Amino acid sequence: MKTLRILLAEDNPADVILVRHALEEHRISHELRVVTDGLDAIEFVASIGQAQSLDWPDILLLDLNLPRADGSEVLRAFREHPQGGATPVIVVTSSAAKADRQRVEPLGISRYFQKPVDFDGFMRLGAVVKEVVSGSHA
Amino acid sequence: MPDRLIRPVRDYAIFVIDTNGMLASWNEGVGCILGYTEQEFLGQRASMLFTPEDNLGDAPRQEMEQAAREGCASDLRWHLRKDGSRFFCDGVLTAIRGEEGEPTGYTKIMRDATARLAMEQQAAHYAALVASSHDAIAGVTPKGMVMSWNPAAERMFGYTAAEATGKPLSRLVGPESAAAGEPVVGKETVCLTKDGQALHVSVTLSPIREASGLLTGYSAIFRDIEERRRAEQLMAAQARELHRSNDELQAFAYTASHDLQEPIRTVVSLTQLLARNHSGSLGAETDGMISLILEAANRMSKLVRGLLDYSRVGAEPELRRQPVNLQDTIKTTLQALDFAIRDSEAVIRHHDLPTVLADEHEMHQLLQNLLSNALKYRSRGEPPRIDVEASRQAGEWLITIRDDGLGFDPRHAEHIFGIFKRVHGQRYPGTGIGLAICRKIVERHGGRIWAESEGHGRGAAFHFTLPALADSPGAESGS
Repeated sequence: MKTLRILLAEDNPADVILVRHALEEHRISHELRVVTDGLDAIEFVASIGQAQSLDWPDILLLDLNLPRADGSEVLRAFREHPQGGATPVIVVTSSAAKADRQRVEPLGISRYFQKPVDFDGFMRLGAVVKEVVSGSHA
Repeated sequence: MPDRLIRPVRDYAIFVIDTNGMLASWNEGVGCILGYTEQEFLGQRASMLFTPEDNLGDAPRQEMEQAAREGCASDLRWHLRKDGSRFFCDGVLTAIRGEEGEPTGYTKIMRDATARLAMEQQAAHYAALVASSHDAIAGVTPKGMVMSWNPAAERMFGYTAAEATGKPLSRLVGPESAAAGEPVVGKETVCLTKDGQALHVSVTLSPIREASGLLTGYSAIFRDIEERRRAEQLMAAQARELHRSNDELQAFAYTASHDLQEPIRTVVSLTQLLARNHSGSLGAETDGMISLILEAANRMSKLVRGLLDYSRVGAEPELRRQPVNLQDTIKTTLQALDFAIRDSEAVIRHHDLPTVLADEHEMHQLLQNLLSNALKYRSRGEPPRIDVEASRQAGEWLITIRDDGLGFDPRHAEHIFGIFKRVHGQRYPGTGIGLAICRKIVERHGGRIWAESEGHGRGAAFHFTLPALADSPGAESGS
């Protein structure tokens, strides 16, 4: 598998650690770019393509409860970007609220991954990423 | 007076009484009013026309004495007819005098005033009603001029009867209330008092007509509804406030428990990561501490989830009530508890349970919490026996879940329904939320819940009531 360019929008540093572990646990070769608030994420997405050094990510891992702009706003900006139409997005959130899910589903998401309480459960995120990526390439 | 003029008069009984008190003449009026023929009347004592009580008081003689002294004596009193019936009489006795002024006899003129008396009494009665009314009552002319103004109107609007009489009602209390022709009943409007205060009143306007149908005026009745309005407004405000604070509390509990889960999750996951990466290399004491951190965090997580569950009951302001057959509900509940039932080898008997109007999901939660408690707090070494039964009592169903398990100190019977309250030690895992949720569910459905136990090791009974369906059978059920 080629190196996966992953954009992670996550404000909780502990969850960033867990995401890294989940990717490593499933031996996903990756290049992780982390943005820690919603506005940064939107600005980052807008800047891709303008600076030559930045490539469009292969997948977006998106927390919903982000400071300054929430996950659905980030997702909307991502989808409105000329390159953002087909890129898979996995929502990674602790929210079990139906309303949260209903807000992002129409914008196009591959999976809704609810953060489990325990470490082992969180590690399953790696498998989910693998599935989504292989599915999108199939 | 010539006898030929007096004799045919029918509206008045006119006759002569001699100085001995004997009746000495008769006219048609005597026949009409008193009922005596001339033969029956002449030569009888005048006292026979008086009531026994007036005779006892010597009224006939006193009247003659007064007439002799003063020329005449007029009186209003009850008299007797020939048939013994009474009539109210307006009478005057006039002395006939001889040449030296001495009385030689008396003429008596009587008129039946019974009808007038009744009218006067009725008028006085109505006047007293109007005067004592707490509502302001005004009589107005067809053109709206005040003719009468009762004491309550004086108090309510501040105008005396003298001030109000002859003035247009609309100018006194505001154009809204003017007798505009159409009768109104209990119309709520705003009037003005003499000192300019707005007053909320309910007005009733009724036309008053003569027997011929001619409109002679209106009655206007005003009821002060300020107090009622204030009470209604206060109640509405209190209800809104209660609703708001309830919503706020729900939202708070929900958000708090949601947001509290986040840091707990981080503590649990990272501690597990630490344990995995460094287990064995940190020493037994550190490993022990890591276990304690995990235990505490897991417990915290359960408490927060319990709080979330508790706040979810009632998060929907309206109950989704529908007929729920508790017999079906308990079957589903027993399926859900299948593992715990097999594990404890419990014997659960349930008798015919009724259909109630309730939220199905909440009924399931209620029965599941109570039954899982009965399974959990069982006596050691014995398979628990649990009985569920229902009985109908005046408009409601009483459901009882009785077990032979650990029971509790009766002093704790109320305490155990409090949130996070536990009466059994750590050997029995739990968060102390289950019964608090049960109470919330039952009370939301308009019922009561309580528990009984004779003490530790003597079993427990949990009772709750639910309003019965109007058409559900009244007979007690059982199997």
